[in-house]
Amino acid sequence: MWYLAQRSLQMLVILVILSAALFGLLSAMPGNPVDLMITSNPQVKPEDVIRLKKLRGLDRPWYVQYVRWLWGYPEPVKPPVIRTIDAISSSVDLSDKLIDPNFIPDSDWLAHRLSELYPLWSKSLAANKIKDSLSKNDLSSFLLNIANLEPELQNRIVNLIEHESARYLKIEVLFGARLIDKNLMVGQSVGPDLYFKLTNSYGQEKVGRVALSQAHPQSQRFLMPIKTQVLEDDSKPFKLDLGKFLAPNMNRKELKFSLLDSPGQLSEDGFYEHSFSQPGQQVIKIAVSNNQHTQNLAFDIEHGVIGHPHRFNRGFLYFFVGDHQALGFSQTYKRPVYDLLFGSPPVCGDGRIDAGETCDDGNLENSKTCDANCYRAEESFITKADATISGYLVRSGRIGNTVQLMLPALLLSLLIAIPLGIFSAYRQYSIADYLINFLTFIGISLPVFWFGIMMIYLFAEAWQIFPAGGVQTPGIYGQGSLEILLDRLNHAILPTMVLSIFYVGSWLRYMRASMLEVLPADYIRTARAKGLSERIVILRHAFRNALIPVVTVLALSIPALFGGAVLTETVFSWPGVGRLQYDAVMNSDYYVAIVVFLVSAVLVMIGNLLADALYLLVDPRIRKQ
Amino acid sequence: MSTLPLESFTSLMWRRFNKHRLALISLMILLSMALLSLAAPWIEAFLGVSHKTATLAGANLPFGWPHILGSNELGQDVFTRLIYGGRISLAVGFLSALTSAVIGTVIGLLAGYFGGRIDTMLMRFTDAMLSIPVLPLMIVFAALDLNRLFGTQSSLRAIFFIALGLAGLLMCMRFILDGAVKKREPGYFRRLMLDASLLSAVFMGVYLFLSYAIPWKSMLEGNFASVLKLILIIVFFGWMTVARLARASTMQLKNMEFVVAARALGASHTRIIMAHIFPNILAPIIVAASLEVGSNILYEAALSFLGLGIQPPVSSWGNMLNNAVDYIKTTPSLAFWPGLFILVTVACFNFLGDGMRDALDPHQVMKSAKGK
Repeated sequence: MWYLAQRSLQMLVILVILSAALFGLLSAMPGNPVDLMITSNPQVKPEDVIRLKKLRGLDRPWYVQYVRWLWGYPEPVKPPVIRTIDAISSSVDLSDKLIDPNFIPDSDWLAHRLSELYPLWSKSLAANKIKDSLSKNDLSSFLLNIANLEPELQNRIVNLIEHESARYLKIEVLFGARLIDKNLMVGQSVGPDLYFKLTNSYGQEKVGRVALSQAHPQSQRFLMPIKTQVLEDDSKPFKLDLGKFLAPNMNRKELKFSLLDSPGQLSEDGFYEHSFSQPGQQVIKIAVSNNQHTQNLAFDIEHGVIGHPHRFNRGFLYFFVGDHQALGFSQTYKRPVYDLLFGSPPVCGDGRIDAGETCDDGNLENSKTCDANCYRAEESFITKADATISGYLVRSGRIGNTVQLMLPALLLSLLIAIPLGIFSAYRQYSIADYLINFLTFIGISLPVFWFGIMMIYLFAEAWQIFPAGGVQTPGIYGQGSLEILLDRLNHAILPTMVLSIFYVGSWLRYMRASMLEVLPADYIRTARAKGLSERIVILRHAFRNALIPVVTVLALSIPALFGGAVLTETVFSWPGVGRLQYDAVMNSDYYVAIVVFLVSAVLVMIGNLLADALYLLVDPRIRKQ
Repeated sequence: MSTLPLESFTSLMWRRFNKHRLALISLMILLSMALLSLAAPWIEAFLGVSHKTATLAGANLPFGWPHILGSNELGQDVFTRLIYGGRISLAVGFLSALTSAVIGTVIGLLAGYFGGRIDTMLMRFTDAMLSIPVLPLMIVFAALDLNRLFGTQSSLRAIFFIALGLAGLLMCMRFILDGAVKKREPGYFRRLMLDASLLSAVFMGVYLFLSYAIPWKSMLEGNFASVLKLILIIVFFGWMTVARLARASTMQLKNMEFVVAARALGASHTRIIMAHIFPNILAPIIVAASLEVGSNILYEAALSFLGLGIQPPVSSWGNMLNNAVDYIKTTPSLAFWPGLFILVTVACFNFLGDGMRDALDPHQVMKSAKGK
């Protein structure tokens, strides 16, 4: 008992050190979550990056981040950022200034343009690949393929796409201006910049701005634009004092403020109030007038997390008191880490398409669908299979998937390796022994990923017996439980086979070596001399003693089972822990990476403890000491 | 001196090794593979193909002349890519095995010979390293940006100060623990200070060496960096086997008569280690190292397959497989050849190691002969 307590105390210390070291390592990796945002969206400005890093605590040194991860931190309140938009008057041709960065042209258009630019493309050898990426609307792989042909061709196509993207932008003029065929016409000019609202085909909104070339007379300005206003207290509704924007020679009492087409309330003397219910962007439009003139203004308010002022984001330690949210949120999968590891896969729409296909199997490119409607939208659809075993299987998260792959593989490999190892040691130097030995050597030299690819080619492509990858057929939720079970079994056969062949090699070697140690022992000779049958001698006397070291190795290899299947899971696109870990590391998904590592570290230690316990169990000599 | 015609050690070993036919064949295959990769530029010139330049016209060609094994999706010749990739894979496997053997031997020798606290610490560390699933951690290390770690003076300085702080902490702990356990002897404090200054001098030296002697800026760019990083990672996770072996053998040897005799004759520790123990533990280390080359090649291939090792314009067997997965439907041969090369090479190294074990490690043979 004392021993166990000591060991667990040791474990705790090691875990703390390990997680701190991992945090240090992760922060030394290229790209934190915010940097990744920049690479994916070139529109993000440097000052935004600094602001975001501050909000997420990424500007602190890694040990502060670590403590915050461990213990928790007050939830950051993102201050609203207000930009004023001045109404101006001028005429600007926008058609060459607009580019929609999110625009993705459709495949027909691309095919058309491609055949215009490059008439021979359908005859080229890479045409199949290009057609494939066209049909999938996979723009990046399309461009990559084009770049492999000719970089110049890619440039021309990108130019065409940029030109095309402007056509899909919807321009909404702000106040008083008119839009005539991408020309902003405004009667009266007061500022150096021209603002308008853009909406792209995805419904994303942005306030666009064009700098005007010539200076405009600053005739009738009532309000001066300032850049930002930081709201300190977030518990109260957002309040904007328009008096702060007054131009120096203006008097608030002489002006009349009125609200144009915006939510919220505006009092006559210039106080705007608005209760934000969710983070987002809001453009409020205000008209200011005195007796002679009217000025139209827009404020672009960007509001982040609306939090309770004293809300505390619980750190990792709170997981042990039962707070699942304490594990954090995965940035890449847009799901809570706990759900990702232990929970059910998210279901899309009417439940016929499981979002597991689009967001939970590492297919990060399509995570847009994930955001939109997949996050556990229709949980009721999987309850049909819930009560049965197959329901349980289907709902298993990443850890469940890995266990479903690993345990059968381990059992299968042991079932093959142990009898063969005994046989090969018993008949040492026979032809069978040489053959088994040779095959074992091939087995331990086999690159498991290559073997997996070859198996996929043979069984999934050439003969089409088994599916090529995945853990289940998409849309299986509606089916009966037997169908689900069979379907998952069908998917599991190939990876299990590959993994177990990978394991058989090393287990067989252990078993054979261990048997060879035992066989010449005196008690075997005694057993034979007693006249026991050969079967009993081998199985009861030799095998049992040979099992002692093998059992130890088995217990010690549990962590390797857990994390060592990265390659198999990658090849078979099996949504398990190994690949999750890989994806998390590659995408700087800190929370996922560190939780998975900690789970495997705990497993390592449990494996060690288990090895000790098993040793006690199988070896009576130690028990006596 | 005996008058019997004595067989020299090497010829005895060679004779024993010759008996293991598979190992002999493996050696020949490996030698020819090494020759082939060394001759890669000439073979490329002879065939008149290119392993690097992409051409649209020659993409996905089947077997034939001059593309012996066909060409890939970019029109690069597969065979020359394979032998160029062999250069990288063999070099990474070999260099990392060599480095980890050297490091493991030094650590194992010191731990086994001196024993005590160093031994416990080192062996705790090796135990911990052995029980960790290696590949996931390798992925983390491979994703690390060396430029961020060593590229700037400030990050180097940070590492230096952290190391210095840890060492100081250890010293303090030792001081307190020793004070609690045993009475402080007269010269104790002086010795402690000496140790501390020695330790800090070593740290200073390492720091100065790392920051000035090594041109990190030029080293950490391009493909050399990725090869270097791969070797470092594999060594970091691979030295434990050799260390344990060396330690076990040293522990056995250090109490044997000839070592005791040497000590009695007044030989220094250095001399005993270098002249008496090291030659005697060399055999199992060589065997372990040759077995390690195979597994190192597998690790290299796995990391490159995941896209973390050698980056595409340069070929390695692993990253050739990485590209080939997409074309498994149309041209499966792209995936077949690199994997076969890996399999054959690794299997050859394993057989070679087995043969060397039979030749160099007679205990094993005796043991298995007894079992017969």
